[in-house]
Amino acid sequence: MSSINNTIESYQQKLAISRLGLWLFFASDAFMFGGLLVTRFYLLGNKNLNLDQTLGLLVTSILLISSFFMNRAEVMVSEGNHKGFITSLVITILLGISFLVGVVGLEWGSAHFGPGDGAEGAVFYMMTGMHAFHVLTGIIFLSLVLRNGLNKKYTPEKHYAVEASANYWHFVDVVWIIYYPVLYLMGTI
Amino acid sequence: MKNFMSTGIVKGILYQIVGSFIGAGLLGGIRALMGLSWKTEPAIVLGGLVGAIAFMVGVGAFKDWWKMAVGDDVTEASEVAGEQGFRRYFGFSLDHKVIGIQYGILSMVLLVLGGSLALIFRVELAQSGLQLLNFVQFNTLVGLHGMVLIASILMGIAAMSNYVVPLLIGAEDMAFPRLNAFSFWIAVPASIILMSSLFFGGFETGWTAYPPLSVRGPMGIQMFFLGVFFVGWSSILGALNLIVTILTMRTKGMGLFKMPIFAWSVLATSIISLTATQLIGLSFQLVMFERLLEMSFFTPSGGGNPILFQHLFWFYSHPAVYIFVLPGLGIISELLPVFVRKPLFGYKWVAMSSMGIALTGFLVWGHHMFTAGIEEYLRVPFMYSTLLVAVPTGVKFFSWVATIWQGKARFPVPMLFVLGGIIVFLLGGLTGPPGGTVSTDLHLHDTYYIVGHFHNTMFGGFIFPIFAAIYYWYPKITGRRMSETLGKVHFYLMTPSFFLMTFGQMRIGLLGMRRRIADYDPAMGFDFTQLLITIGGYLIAISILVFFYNLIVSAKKGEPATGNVWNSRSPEWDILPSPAPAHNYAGIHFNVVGEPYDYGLKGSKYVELAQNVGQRKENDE
Amino acid sequence: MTKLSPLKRGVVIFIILGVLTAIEYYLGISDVPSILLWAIALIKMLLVLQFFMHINRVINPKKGGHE
Repeated sequence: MSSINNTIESYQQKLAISRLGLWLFFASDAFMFGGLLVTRFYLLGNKNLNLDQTLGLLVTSILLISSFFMNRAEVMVSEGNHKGFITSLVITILLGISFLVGVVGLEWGSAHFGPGDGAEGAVFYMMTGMHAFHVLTGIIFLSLVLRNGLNKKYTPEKHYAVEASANYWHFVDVVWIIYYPVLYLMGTI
Repeated sequence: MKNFMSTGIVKGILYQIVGSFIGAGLLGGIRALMGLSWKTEPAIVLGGLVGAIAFMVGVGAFKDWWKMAVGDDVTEASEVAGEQGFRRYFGFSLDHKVIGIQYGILSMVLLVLGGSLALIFRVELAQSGLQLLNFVQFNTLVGLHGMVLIASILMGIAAMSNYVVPLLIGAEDMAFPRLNAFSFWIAVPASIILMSSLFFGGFETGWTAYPPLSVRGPMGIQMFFLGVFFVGWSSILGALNLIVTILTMRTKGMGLFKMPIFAWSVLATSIISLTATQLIGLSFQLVMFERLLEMSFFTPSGGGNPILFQHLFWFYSHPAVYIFVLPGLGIISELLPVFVRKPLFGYKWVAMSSMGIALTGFLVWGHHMFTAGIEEYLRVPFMYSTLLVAVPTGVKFFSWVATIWQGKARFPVPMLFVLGGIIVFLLGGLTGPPGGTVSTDLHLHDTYYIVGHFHNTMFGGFIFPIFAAIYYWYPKITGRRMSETLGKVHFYLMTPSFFLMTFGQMRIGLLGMRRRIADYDPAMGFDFTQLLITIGGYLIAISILVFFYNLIVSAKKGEPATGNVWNSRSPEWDILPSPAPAHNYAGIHFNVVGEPYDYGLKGSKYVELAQNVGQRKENDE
Repeated sequence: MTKLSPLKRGVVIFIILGVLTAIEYYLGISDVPSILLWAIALIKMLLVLQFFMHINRVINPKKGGHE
């Protein structure tokens, strides 16, 4: 009996440690994204980048919806709803991929400047590129979670990997929540 | 031979070499397929990147993580039976004590490399005119001297914190042992890449890598950027690990204000390196991309602004000096009470002053840019925030002085280095405000005065304390003491030579000697002082050779150390045998029953074995 | 908010985020002061941090374990 209690306690302890570590990583990464934000305002000031607004709204909505399904996936795994968990996770991954296609495929292709065309191009490609890189790593994490989920590795009691990658996914969403108005909406043309 | 080839580090380096060629070849291949000609610069960047990752694969850093990722079970880190004996220091180990030593070895190797670079260009400077080096070589050596030693310092503080912190707070290991090993091993390919910038044409910018020069100069700068980038990873992940360890893995009953003071300074340091390091990585990455993809972040003709780089760069690189010195100051506060047999004066204030320095450190970066053309209205606020740092630093000095006051001081070698550290750091602190005040800085900026000031802070805040720490904890590591005589030779040779060097630097700096130049006008009359500085530098090098001799020989022939060598109250001396056993306190329960530094108070104890408490209760009944 | 089941709470938060994004978009294309956009972005960020990322789990580790 006591040994069972011990393992539960040590799992809880480990969980607390892992969560703290993950959040410290977010804090650290946020400084990097913050640095890019400073770069944008230092170089461009109150200047609008004049980008395709429809596309911008579209990719933003896609990422927001993906975050919603990510949340559902996490809740469902903690409730033991295996099928719902897998479905929501697959939807999240597909939406993540469409976000990448939208930004890297369409937006980069159709933008009216390249990375070498002055400060606007440099800032835009660096910010979207860095964010897209994080989305890509998020998709990789989620795919691994999906693989393990299909092999039924997660239980309602123990699914920290799901929680961690969900948190990472939401973190990437938070970054975009800030970057979207900064890149698309703010300033005058 | 097979044994040798399977050593982690050898395998890692082989993988790195192969990986570098694959990376470079990959880029060349893609460009060839696209019908473009060979271009060396992107090829070496990709080669360096792939090489570093290949090193980590070769050393075995990803093995367990891969298993976790595909859902296999991995052995608990505490149950992994690592290799034994000397070999374990050269392979992937999860034990924080082994990793601490590994960091220490790397730090000392980099210290020798970085110091030797300085010895070379000091010969050039000993006399006006060019004798030995050309301009690019000189600039490369100066820049690498700076960055290699910064890496050495980062490794050195990681060594101290990794080895000592879990022992001090009564933890079995660090919070994330695999991450801990990763953060050490990534620093090895990083150092190799950093040094390789010598072979790709060097670079002309000094360690600060300011654009536009760094955008235009030779491509050695790319290897410099890449090396620093990976050292940054090491620093960030190590800091993350330390924060979590200190916050969550303290032994029962050890509140935050009952921790040994060194843990506080490591916590403060780690907060800075966790967050601010991102900014130097970012700034270097932006220059790297500007060179590779012509993204004009810093070129005014393309809409960029070189001042932006300085903002991003100094946002890390000023707090970085607090990263370098805070652990050292923590060592001073930790060791001083042991050797004067008195409580540390104002424990809470000292703990908070570390935090104060760390947080104020984020607000002062602009003082490096007074002459760079930043907005005029920014100068005075940055001046005040800079001078504000003197307040928490002053708290530390008052605490040290009050601790020494009327103490029963003993003077073994660690204490000598502690006192040396206090004096040298005081000199560094006093020479700082003229650089932080706008009116005087306009004259002092980029002169040898700043060089002298900086070497004061680094010696007082890092070099002296780390030597103190090594002499102090060496018996805990090896079970033998280092030779006191040789230690005293080391100290009494290094300290005056250092003063010769730094006073020389500050003197010619005040007279107008510019930093980072290979030659100077003989009519300025600096030749004699420059020669003295060079002699001082070589004497320091000799004293460090004495130290290494002592370090190596004492491991085999030193006087065996048993029990509480320094009569300290902290748990690693009070409870554990020397050398410290694997898994530290596994199977030992101890309670925190008092204050950490109540030396000289009769009958008071900081920690006590749990069964003793039981016995005492029985006695009471 | 605490009374709702986690799934329903997710839906509510999502709707709020969607509405805020729509408002943000219309404000953005009609050239308002950027402080308003910052405010909305900040609210959205806090919502995600609180309800999707469960930031209080790390501040208060006893809460929200995997029961």
